[in-house]
Amino acid sequence: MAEAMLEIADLVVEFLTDYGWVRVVDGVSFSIRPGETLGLVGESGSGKTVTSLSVMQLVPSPPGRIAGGSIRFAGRDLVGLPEAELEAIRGDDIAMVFQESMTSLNPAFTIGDQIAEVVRRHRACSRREARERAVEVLDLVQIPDARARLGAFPHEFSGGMRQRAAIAMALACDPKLLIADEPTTALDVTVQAQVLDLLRSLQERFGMAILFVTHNLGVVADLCDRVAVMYAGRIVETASVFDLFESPRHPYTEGLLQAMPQLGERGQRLAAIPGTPPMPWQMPQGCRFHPRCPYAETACTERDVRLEAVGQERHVRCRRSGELALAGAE
Amino acid sequence: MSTPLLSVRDLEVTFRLRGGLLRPTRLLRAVNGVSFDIAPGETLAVVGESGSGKSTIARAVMRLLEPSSGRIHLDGDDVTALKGEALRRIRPKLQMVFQDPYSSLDPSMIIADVVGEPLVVHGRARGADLERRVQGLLEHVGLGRYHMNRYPYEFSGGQRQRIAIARAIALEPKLLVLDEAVSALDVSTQNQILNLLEDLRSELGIAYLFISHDLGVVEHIADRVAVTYLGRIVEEGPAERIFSAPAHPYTEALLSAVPVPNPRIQRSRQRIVLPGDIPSPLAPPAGCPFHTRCPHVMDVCKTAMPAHTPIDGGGSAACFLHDTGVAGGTRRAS
Repeated sequence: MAEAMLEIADLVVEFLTDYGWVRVVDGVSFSIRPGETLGLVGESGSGKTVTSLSVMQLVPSPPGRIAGGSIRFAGRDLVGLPEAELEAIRGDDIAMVFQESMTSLNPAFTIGDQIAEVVRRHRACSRREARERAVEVLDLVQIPDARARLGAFPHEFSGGMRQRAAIAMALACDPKLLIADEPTTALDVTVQAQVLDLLRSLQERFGMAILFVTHNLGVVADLCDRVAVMYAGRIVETASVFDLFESPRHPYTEGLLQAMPQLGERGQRLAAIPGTPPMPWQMPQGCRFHPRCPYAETACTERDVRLEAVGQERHVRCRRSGELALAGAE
Repeated sequence: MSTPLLSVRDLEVTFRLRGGLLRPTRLLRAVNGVSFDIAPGETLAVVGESGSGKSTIARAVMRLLEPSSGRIHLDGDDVTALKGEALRRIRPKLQMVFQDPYSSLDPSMIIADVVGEPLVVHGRARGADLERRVQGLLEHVGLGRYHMNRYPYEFSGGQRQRIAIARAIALEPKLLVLDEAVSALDVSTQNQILNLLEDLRSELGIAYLFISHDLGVVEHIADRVAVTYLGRIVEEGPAERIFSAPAHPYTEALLSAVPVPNPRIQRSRQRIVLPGDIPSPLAPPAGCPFHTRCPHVMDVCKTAMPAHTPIDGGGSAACFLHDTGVAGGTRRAS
C-alpha cells in the first residue's frame, strides 16, 4: 500500500460560542494517498468544511481553534506550523477550491494577474513567465481563447467559467493535494457535469490527490475512490466508494443512501431520516446518531462508540454494525 | 380534460435594465411566450437552470411582478387584469412558499402570529377560533402546539419550512406556488418536507406549481413537467414520459448530467456533456435558444424558432428534430 500523503489523526476543532467552547470536529482521523480522491461527505453542520479548512490552518481564529490532533502532510505536522511556513505550502503543495468562486476570486484584479501572483509567490520566475503559466493553466481548464482572457475580471466570467478559473489558479503550482469544498454545488447541473469531467481528466494527467468535500452522493459516486462519512463532528464510516454504496455498514450511511431521490424511481414515498442533526452544544450521550437511528438499543444511548476497523480499508462507528444487514444503493 | 385551475397563455416578462453613462438601457426578456395549464389537485414542476426564467414565471403567476404581455387565469378569474380589492379577494386561492426559510419568516413574530396572520388579514378568524385554527395548522404540518409561542430562530431549517407551509395553507388555497422550496434543506430533511407536501395534496387537494432545478426531487413529486431554457418552455409532458423518453435534446442532456448515486451505474453510463455555458438572457441566440450547445444542431435551428410539436406518450417539444414539416427528420428514442 502506498504511503499516505495526508494523514489526519484525532483532529479536534473547537469554536467559542454562547455555550462556551464547543467541539465542532471531534477526533477525526483519515488519510489520503497520492493520486487518490477521498470524498468527505456529510450534511450541513457535520464538520466537513471545518475539517477541510483545518488542513491549511484556515479555521478562523478567533472564534475557532485546533484543540488537538495532528495533520501530517508529506511527513510534517501542519498543526502549529509558523504562518510563514504555512504560506509557503498554501497554493503550492496544497491548493484549495471553494464553493463560491465569486467570493474566492478578487473582484478588483484580472484573472491573469491573480493566477500570475500565485506563480510568482512560489516560483522564482519573471512576470512574463508567470503570465505564460497563467495562459497554460487557463488552457488546461478549457477556457476558450485563454490568452485573450488574461485581462478579464471575474465578473466578466459566467459562474462555470469562474469556477474553472479558480481551478486553474489552484493548479498553477502543480499541487500534490487539491482540497475542493463543494466546488460544484453552486453550479447548474450541466455545468457541474463539465467541471467533474475536468477534475477527473486533470487528475489522470497530473496525479494529484483530491480531498472532495460534498453533501451530494451523486457527485461522490461519480468521482471519488474512497469516502469518509461525517455526522455530528465525527467520522461514522470510511470505505471504498463501491463498498460504501453497495453495502453501507453504518445506519446513517444507509439513511443517506435511501434518502437520495434517485432518478428512475417514481411515485414511492421518500425515505427520510426522522428528526434533525444535533447542535454541537447538545450532543447526545452514547452514539451521536442514536436519537435518529432505527436500530438503536439501550446500550447505544449509554456508551461512546469508537471507530473500529472492519475488514480491509473500512472503518465504522456502530456497535451493531456486525449484526445489521443494511441496504445499499439500488 | 377538466377546466384547468390555472391557465397561463403567452406569458412574457421583460425587465428594463437601466443603463448609465455610456451604457444604454437594455431589455431582458426573462420569460418569452410561455403557456401552460394546471388542473385542480395537479402538480406541475417547472425545471430549468439558472436564468431559465422559472422563478420569474412563479412570481408572475403570484402577481408579484407585472407581465409585459400574456394572460393568467385562475379559477376563471383573469389574474392579470385584476387590481386592488378584486385582486385581494382572489389572493387566498393562491399562496407561495419560498426557498429560504431563514429570510421568509419575520424574526420578530412568534409562530402563532406568523401562521395566523393570513387568517387575520382576510378576516377569517379571531380570538379563540384563531388560536384553535393555528393549532390545527401546525399539527397538519407535524408541529406541536407547544411551538406556538416560539420565535423563528428557535427552529431548524426543515421546521421553518413546515411553518412557512402552515402559513401558506392557512387560507385553504387552491394553488400553492413552491419556488425551490426544498433546495436549501439537507437530504434527510428535504424528504420529510416532500412527504408532507404529498400528504397535504391528498388531504386538501391543493395543486402545486413546483419550481425546481433538482430533477431527482421533481421526478418524485410532479405529475407533469415543463422544462425551461432561456425564458422558454422547450418541452412539457407527463413526468413519466419526460423522465423515461425525453424528446428535447436539452431535456436529454439535463437528465444525463444528474449524477446517479451509485458508482457502478454512474461510471458505466453514457453521458452527454454539453459544451459551453447558458447564453446570457440579455443576448439570446437567434433561432432555437438551445442551438449554441445542442449536439444535434442543424442549419434551420440557427435561424428559425421551432414550434411545439406533440410527442408520443404525451406533451410536446419545441425542436426541429420532431417537427417533421420543417426538417423532415425524426429522432430515434435513446
